[in-house]
Amino acid sequence: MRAAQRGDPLAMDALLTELAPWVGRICSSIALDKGDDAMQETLISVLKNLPTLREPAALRGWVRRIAVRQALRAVTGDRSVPVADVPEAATVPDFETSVDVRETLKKLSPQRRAVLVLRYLEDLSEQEVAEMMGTPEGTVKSGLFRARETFRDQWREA
Amino acid sequence: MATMDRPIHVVGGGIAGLVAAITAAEAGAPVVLHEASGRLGGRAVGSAERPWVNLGPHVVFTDGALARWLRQRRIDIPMRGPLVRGLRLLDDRGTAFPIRHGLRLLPSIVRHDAPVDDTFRAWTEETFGGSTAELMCRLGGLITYHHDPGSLSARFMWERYRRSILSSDRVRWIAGGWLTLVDTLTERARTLGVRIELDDRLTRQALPDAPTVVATKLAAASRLLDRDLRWPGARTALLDVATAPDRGWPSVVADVRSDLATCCMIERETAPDPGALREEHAELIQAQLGVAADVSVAEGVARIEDGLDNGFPGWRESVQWRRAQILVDGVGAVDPPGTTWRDRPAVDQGDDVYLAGDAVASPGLLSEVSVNSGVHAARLALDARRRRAFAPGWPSVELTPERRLAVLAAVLPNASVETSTHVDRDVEPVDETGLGYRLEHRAGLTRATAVTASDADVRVMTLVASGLPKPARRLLERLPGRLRPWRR
Repeated sequence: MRAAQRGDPLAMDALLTELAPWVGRICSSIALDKGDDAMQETLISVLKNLPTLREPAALRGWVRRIAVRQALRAVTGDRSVPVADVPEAATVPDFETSVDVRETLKKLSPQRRAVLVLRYLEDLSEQEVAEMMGTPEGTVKSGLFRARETFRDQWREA
Repeated sequence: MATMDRPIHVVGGGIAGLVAAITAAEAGAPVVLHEASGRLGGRAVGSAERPWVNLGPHVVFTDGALARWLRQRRIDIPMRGPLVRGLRLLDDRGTAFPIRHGLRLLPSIVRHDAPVDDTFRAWTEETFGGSTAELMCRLGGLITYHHDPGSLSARFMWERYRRSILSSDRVRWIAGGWLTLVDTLTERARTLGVRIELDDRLTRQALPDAPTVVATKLAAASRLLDRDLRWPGARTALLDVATAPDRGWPSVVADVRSDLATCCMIERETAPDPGALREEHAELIQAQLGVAADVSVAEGVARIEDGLDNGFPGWRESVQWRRAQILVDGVGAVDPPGTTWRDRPAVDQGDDVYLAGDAVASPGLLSEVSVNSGVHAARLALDARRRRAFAPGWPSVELTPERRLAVLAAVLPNASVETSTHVDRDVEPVDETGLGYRLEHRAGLTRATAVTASDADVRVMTLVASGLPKPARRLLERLPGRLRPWRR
């Protein structure tokens, strides 16, 4: 981590190996077909700005924020998506479902997908999601409710 | 994270399975190794009563994947070098030290690009001429254990010819047989916490829902995964003989008499490794001869014995025990004309199942294919495990070698990227995955290569980056690797 911050190419490469599966999951869950572009932009941004990260322990929260922003940017073309600071989540949930997650995600707006990813994939609290997305907590709650409804409908169809 | 406790499963405890299990465990994953028989090692162990007597002649190449993998882990396996003075060639004129033959092979030390589509026989005849070509084809039997090496792909054979016949100083014998290697790897796996389940034959129904490396022979993998996994191999007659000691005998006799399209290799194992038979006070002679499908054990063995009569006079009178058998598909894949290792059954079988072994799509010679595919399969299984841990069922994208290179190109100082496309599918692999991604760094100079194969062609992307001014950079690029070794 420190070596990667100093610009050691081998350490940077190792960091890519470590981050790629996780970043790829966040990016493609939000940006869907543009997930690979979003992942590439995220990883570039992470490596470029790595020296500015003072606390290595904050890495995951910081990378997550960049990934969500890049994913939303890739799919909406919006360059001003507000994504604020959030603390690192300690656990990752077991969000297993028999429905086709990808098909259901397609039916949601990118912002709602991001909310869903942060809440269920990244296990942030509703308050943390609201802070990160820069929206009121109520909006996050209603968004999650709709998203769950969509999943339920999809499951019934299947 | 509850999901992180989920183990990676490895089916088959031969060299490929052990390498895969160790590689996965080194990355911190819990690993369960399922072995159908009562002991680990697969074809690297001999018979039940003498497991240290290899299943036919076995060698390691010091410049190959197995030796490198062991070196990287500082695993010390005692190895013995070749005894050049004891080398003999048996041709129609008799047994002799191979000076005459060496001269005949001299033209073949020049580097060539051998075509994938031609047979080795057609290509060598065209390139080196009749008698040299004939000898080259027969000697191919030393490394393929095949009855007609000249009929295989020229590219496949040429790589093997160069790395074995022309670089015989790099050949090593493992002291105490391959059992030494198996025992050491088993010990390493146990130390890393790999759970080893012996007498544990998995069925299709019992396959775990977890990233799984199937490191069995292709036929067993076919049954287990219910799909057609096949690749041509060799059929080989093996004869092992223990005789009373006789130090006057040669160490290796290559029988290339003209009745064969291949070579019958006879090795006195106790020459490089006096401890090959452990406690027994005897010479161990092991011979192999590639035979066609219609040749019986008795016929194959009779032909081997004829070679022994010429090279090891008096052997028949002092036999203490002997073992004769025919090994089918026991020495790895052989690539027919028009195919390369990339065309063999793929390592990534989808649904988080990965193949490893000596007959799958990985580069290398003989057991090196097992090592390379074992490492590759373990890495893919680790990636799959990380993916599952984050959230099963959610969409995901992989960081392809090309994307990875693009990321580094955007970040590293003064990076330049070149891309070239090769229609010929057999571009030299740059790492053990065969997919090809390698990053090297030395004295301020970074070089990364990504090789991506599609059905039509192979793309090679190369990145060079350095914070140094151009003249210094040029100079560094030319520095021989030995002066300032590349860090990987």
